Formats: sequence, structure tokens, C-alpha cells
Amino acid sequence: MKPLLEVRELGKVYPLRQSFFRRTVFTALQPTSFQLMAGKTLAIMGANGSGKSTLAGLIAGAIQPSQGEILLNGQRLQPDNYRQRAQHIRMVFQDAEASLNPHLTIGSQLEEPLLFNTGLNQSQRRERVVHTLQQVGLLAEHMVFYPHMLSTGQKQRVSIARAIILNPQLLVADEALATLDSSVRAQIINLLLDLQQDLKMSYIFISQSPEIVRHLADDVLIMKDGRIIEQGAVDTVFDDPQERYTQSLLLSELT
Amino acid sequence: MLLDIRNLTISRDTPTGRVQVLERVNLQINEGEIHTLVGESGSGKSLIARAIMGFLSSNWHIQADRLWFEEHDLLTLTASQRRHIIGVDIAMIFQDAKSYLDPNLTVGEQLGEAVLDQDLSGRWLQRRKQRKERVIQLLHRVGIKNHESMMTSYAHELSEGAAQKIMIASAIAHRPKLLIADEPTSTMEPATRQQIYRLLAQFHARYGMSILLISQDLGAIMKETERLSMIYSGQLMETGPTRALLDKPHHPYTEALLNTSLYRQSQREPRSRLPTLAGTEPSLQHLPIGCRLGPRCANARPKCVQTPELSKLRDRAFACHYPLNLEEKE
Repeated sequence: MKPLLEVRELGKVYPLRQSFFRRTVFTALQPTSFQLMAGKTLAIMGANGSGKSTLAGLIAGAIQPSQGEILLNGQRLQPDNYRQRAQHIRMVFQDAEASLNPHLTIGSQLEEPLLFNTGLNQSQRRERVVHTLQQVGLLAEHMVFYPHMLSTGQKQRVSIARAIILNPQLLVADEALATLDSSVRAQIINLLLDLQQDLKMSYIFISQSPEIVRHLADDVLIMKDGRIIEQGAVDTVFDDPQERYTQSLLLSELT
Repeated sequence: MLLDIRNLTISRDTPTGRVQVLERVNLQINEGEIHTLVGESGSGKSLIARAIMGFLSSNWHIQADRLWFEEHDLLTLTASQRRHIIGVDIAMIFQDAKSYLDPNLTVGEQLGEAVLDQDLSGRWLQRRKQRKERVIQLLHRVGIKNHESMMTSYAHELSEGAAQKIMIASAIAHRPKLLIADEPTSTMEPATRQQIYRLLAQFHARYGMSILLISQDLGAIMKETERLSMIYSGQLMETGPTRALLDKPHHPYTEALLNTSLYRQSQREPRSRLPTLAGTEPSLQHLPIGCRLGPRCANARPKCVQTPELSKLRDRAFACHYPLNLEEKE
């Protein structure tokens, strides 16, 4: 079986100071490689500044890589071809509030990706929006709502709706559950599990919470200082962590 | 009893009439106790803290049968009397520590302001030196070893954990009897959270300082917490000793939060659906009558449209007509 996503030697460096004689760079991500199978969930864990958000941004196409390549279904993703990428890889952010446009109704926000990426006509778009809203547990009436009229949990549902409306193959969630209340978080976890079952999506989950990772993920990458220091199946890594750093990350897990 | 709150009601005028944001909440804190108040965002838990501190502006209406700190009735005090008591005996730390530090002053200058004059023994000319020594001592106490560089730093140069430590240092500068911590760690990564909790527990053990910890998540509370209070949508749901409450919750809301907080995760299949409350938290304009959990509660019955009284059972209390886990009563 071929992997859905293959990352080869992907790396990112930021130039810090450039003079005629000397270049100083900050390495946000050392060259990394990994694979993700279709319908599986990969979690990325690490402390702040360990490069996990850089990695997510690179995969989602928000950041241009300095080296390496990403293959989706064996096909190389062009770093600057957003149309190709937007169809297949979608992202959900931590702060649903900030990632939705306060001036647009939910309906028109959800319509935008369809306008840019599909050739659907107006009634087809509307139908798709209603269908997606129902998929994430909202109602068709929510189309005319503005973001401020919704609760935090509902806003995160809308961000998920916006992400899945193009039937992507991969969803990248950057700390999407971190700021939610625990009952809302459980609702969103259930939603994500259901959607994965129905749509056979793969997830890349960035999280600091060992509990969430253990519950949701199949595989886990542990990152430190822009490097992957440990990777494997969640049970293997969590039950027998090899690195001290991994142990300290897992220590915060409740007993 | 250090803090005694009985039937605290906080309401606010809205275009559609006065809304009781907080409805008849009881809270008692004994001396030297760590008490955690758990509630989801918008449940009014920060309002309680703000009412104690007197931070609420005049468009909030506070009524209470009792709002006592030690022997002082906080409701009848004038602003200056209140400041006198609260400034010395109660301290508060906040969620986003960085935004509560003064961006124009260095850490050393800010902490210097927090040191009280009566703590300095020397004459006028020696005070400057003493103040500095005291600041260094405070920094060491919150676990910051490189005091030299820290004292000349500005707020924007600090990490979140360091900023919160500075907040704690200035909060404990005059050894308060009660420290109110309003979600001090909710935006921190788990390792830093543990550090801050360890620090708080240390001060609790060393000075017998009481702590009122306000938390969003049952999964992220201090393990030293002696008592827990659950609050939902402005109503007190349940209160009691931590262990008993977590092992055998009487209120359906506690049970639901326990299930969703991944606290009991070891008993659960990975990738299974989590049991959770249906629906969303009611908005202030559409508060349900009676028990506000009613519309979302799994075992709600017609009687739940009457607000349940707080029933006491040994050292626990709960507000529910149909409590769970009550075998011994039958």
C-alpha cells in the first residue's frame, strides 16, 4: 500500500542577518522525513518552539520550504501551487475566533473555497454548504449567522466545515482543541472521529496533550529543537519512551 | 473561615432586562485550604473572583447574604477601607500574565513597587538597597536564579512561564492570606503548568496561604486541591472534597465533565466516542429557568424547571433534584 503523504528531507531555515561576508540562519526545521497512510492519524508533539507548527505550515503550504519535497499520493506538491494543494490538504487553526472573518456570514465564508476551487453553480454551492453544515452538526439556518452569534464550539465546527467542504484527503489541525472547554472538546473529538470514519480522511494533529494524542492518534512524532527525536505507534512510544524529553512531555499525563 | 460567601447574586442590565449572570452561589474557604473552582468559559467563575476583589464596575449589581473576608463584610466597606484589607491580605494572579505586567517598567522596578514599606527595617537612605535585596529574595523564591538579567528585563522579553512567576512573586510580596489564581496556567504548555502548580503548592505549604484556583478544565487542576466547586452557567452545581467528588459525583454535571475531560481515560478504548453533554452552553439572553443545566442534562425531568436548593450531605453539597451515586441513603 502506498502512503497518502510522504515527506522527504523537508526542512526550513530562516535567514536572520545577512551581510556580504556572512550569513546567519535560524533552522526552524531540520530535514525530516516521514509517511502517513490513508485514513490514519499522525500526532506531532513537542514543546513551544520545537518546530511542530513550522512542519504543519509546510505541509499545508502556508510556509515555503527551504529544501525537500512533499508527495501526495506519489505526486509531488509544488510549493507555490495553492489550487492543487487547497483541494487536498486543509487546515484547522487553534483560534476559531480569529480564523473566521467577522464581516461575512457563515454561508458566504463556506462558499468561498467552492468559488475558488470548483466549477459549481450557485444552487449546487448552496446545497454543498448546507450538506457540510449538517455534517459538522450545525443547521442550514446557520448560513445567515455571523461568527459573533455562535459559541466557541460552534465556531470551531464552522472552521472544520470550511476545511472539509472540498472533500480533502488530509486535515492538518494545529492545536485545534487546545483552547476549547472540555465538554466542547469532547464534542469536537467525536465529530472528528465520525468525519474520519465517513470520509476516510487522514489527520495530522498537533497537540501538547498526551491524553488527546493517545485517544486520537495512530502514530506520533516527538519533536525537539526542529528535529524528530522519536517516532512510532502511539502505544509503543507512550508505554516505553526512549528519550528523557519524551518522558517529560508525557509526565504531564494524568494518572 | 477565611472567606464566606452566601447566596452571591451578580446581575447586569441588558436591553432585554436585568439578567442574573451569577445566581445564588455559595463558597466557603477555610484558612490554609486550596479550593478549586471549575467551570467552563462564560460560567461566571471569574466574576466571583472579581466580586471578591471589588473589580466590578458599577453596571454590575452585586447582592449577597454574606460576602465576608475574615471579620470584614466586603459589601459594606468603602473603597479605601476595602483596598486597605485587600491590598495586604488578598492577592490575585491572572491568565495572561504578560498583559498584566507594566510594559514600561523593568521587572525589578515593578517588583520593587510591590514591596511594602513596613517590610523594610532600615532608615530612609538604606531603603533603596533593602528594597533591591528583597526583590532578589522574591525572585529566588519563585525559582528564578539569574536575578540580575531578570530584573533588567521588560515584560515583552519574558516567556509566559517567567511572566507568571513574576506575577506570583509580586503577589506573595506581602504574604497574603488568600491568593486568587484565575486560570493562571490555561495557555501554558503542560510542563510549565506543572512548574507553576509546584510553586503555588510550595507557598501553600510554607506559609499556609489559602489558594482559590479557578480552572476551566477538570483535567488540569492542582493535585493538592482539597476542595472542588463546580459551577455551570452561573449556578453552583456541586461542592465537596476533591477525592470524594471525583470518585462519586452526585451531580450530573460533574459526571459529564469528568467523562469529557479525559480524566478517566485509562478506562476508555482509544478512538471511541466520548460521552458528552448535548448542545451548547446557553447564552445570557436565553437562560433556561430552574436548573440551568436542565436542557442539556441526560436525566432531566419536569421538576428541574424549579431551581434545586443546595442539599448538604456531610461535607458535600449539591444542587440537583435527582442526584447520582447516593446508595447509602436508600
